[in-house]
Amino acid sequence: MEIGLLKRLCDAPGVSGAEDEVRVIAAEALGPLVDELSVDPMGNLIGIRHGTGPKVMVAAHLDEIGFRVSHVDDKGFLRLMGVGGQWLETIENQRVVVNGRRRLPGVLFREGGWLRADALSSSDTGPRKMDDYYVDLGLPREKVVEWVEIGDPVTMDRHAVDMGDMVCAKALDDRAGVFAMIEALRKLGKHEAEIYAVGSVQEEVGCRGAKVAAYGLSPDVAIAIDVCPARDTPGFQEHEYIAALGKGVALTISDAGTIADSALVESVRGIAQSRGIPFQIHAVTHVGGTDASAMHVTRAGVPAMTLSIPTRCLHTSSEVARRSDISACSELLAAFLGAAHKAAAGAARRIK
Amino acid sequence: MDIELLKRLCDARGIPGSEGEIRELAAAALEPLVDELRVDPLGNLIGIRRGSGPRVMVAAHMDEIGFRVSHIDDNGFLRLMSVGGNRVDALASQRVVVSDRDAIRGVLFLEASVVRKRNEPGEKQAPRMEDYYVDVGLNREEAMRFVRVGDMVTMDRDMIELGEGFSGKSMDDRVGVFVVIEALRSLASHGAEICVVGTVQEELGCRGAKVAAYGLCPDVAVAVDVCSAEGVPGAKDYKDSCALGKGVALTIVDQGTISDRRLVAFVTQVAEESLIPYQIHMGARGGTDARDIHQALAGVPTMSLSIPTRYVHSCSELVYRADVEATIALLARFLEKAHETTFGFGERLNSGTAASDCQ
Repeated sequence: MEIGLLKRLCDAPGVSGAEDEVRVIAAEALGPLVDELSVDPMGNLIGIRHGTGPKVMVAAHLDEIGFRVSHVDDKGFLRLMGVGGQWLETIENQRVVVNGRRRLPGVLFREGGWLRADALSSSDTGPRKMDDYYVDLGLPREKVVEWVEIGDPVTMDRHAVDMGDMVCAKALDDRAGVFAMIEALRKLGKHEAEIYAVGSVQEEVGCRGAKVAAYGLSPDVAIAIDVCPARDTPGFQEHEYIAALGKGVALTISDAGTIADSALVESVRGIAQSRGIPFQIHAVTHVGGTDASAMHVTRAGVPAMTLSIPTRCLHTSSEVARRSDISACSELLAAFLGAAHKAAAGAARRIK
Repeated sequence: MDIELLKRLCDARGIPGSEGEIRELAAAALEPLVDELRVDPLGNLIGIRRGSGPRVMVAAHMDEIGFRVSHIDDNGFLRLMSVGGNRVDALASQRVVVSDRDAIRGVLFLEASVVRKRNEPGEKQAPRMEDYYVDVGLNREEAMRFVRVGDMVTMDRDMIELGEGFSGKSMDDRVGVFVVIEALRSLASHGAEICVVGTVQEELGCRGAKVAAYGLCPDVAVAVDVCSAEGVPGAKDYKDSCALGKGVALTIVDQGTISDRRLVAFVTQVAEESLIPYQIHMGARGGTDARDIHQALAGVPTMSLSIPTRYVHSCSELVYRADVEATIALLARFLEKAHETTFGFGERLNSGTAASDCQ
């Protein structure tokens, strides 16, 4: 596993709609692994490995949650608009990068939040609002307006690090998926399927990239590679332990956006069992969603499911995933792609 | 300015009682600048530059706020005890380093049940220290190999240059230690006997400064520390006690100390004469080593020279370069001129038995 590539992917800034840097890294890695490589009108990166069999679309999204600059005040402080599902309780006292004409570091604080710096008991509670937060660039307004424009993307300033067998990084959602997809193509042996490996854009704002990519590619079957929330940390009751780190790739059979095609799930499960690839079943109904949600309702419908990498602290600047699970994910994907010409036939239930 | 040294000081890990790493760094930097250098029984680093004039104590504390490991659970998650004035409502998703034996990384996070509760309407309870755990990516058995109860835990944030200043996890008070070293480096001739002290355990109540002052028996003392700059969104103008970029802050009063007026007047005069930008600061909260130094022995005329700092006690404390430079300049000019005044020696009350305790 080329962990350096995963770290480079995670560290690159790529808020929805501004995925350029991530796309460059992914394109470089995908290049030698595919027969065709292109970028579609919305920015999706599409690699094609030719085959004669069914058309299999694999999607992992390039974008990450983040912010855009919405206002520069009289003193040069920035206000932000959230992009994607922010967890507002985790962004105070974090460092960010404004990716404008210059790459500027800043610190993210909450209005009035740090004035009681030395007070141990804060009376300031209740839900946080995005409007309460601002960025301090340590610069006077004149400099700020020279280098920063409204709309500039802002990302968390956190580098990927090792933690035991785990990786801790911003944007593991979904660079871990992009990485697993690339690794799967590296591991892939003989295959008959026509394989579309898509680095999709704008998943975090509603799977907009996957929607048009699926339309354009018209696949027979689709697999999203994404992260899913692990609930194996303090404070969860035992019956809530859905997806845990170290137990293998998660076969997501349902989430808030998709009910996976059951025949496809059975094929994939069978492959995992016969290859001895560790997996766990992940089923929730009320939270989360992946590119599968857009792909499975494309055109007249595409059998789809998600292979998920269990991840702690999702949508924070320190997401945590386990290498062995990422590995299991890429192995299972490679095995499925190799067998898709048999599996997909049984999985697809196209209406003629 | 030796930014590289500031970064090394700021990035070093040292909560109260575990200041070893920062002490080594400070000692190496001070060694060529002083005639004597020693460590006292509590761990204070004391450098003396000899002179014939009054004995001036300059204190900057080496410790930073942080945590200690209090428990390792069955799954290898750690629980922490807070050390110093942490803002415990704003720690979720911060990265930390657990050190003492091996330095390993971890993520501080809120228990799921607390997160859930926080999202309920009307919930008023702010997160408490016991609501947090640290994930170090290890199971219990592995964690026990690297971590012991009592180990030091510090924020994982390296210092960077940010805009017109610097941002790091422990500007409080490594920037003070840095100022003292840089002032000695730029010091011209002086008459005073200068005792510079890197103090320990300030964040738990100035315990190091207390014993260091007793041992040194100074005629006058200056604490160099950070003070809160409030000019940020959400602040009321009348609360602005000092601002970034307006120079060194002469703290005339804070929660622990009322500065000696003659000393403040003298330092103000030095700043005026040397054209060093300064601002007068009244600290509504917080205190410095001055608190225990001015009450040492039979009393020591004391004040704080403060570096205006935003977000004190966060892991992104922010200071401006110009203010750091002004503080260095003022401390150096003050030390050069300190022998020109008496700081009210005639009124000293500690010329009796206490004097015999002095070294």
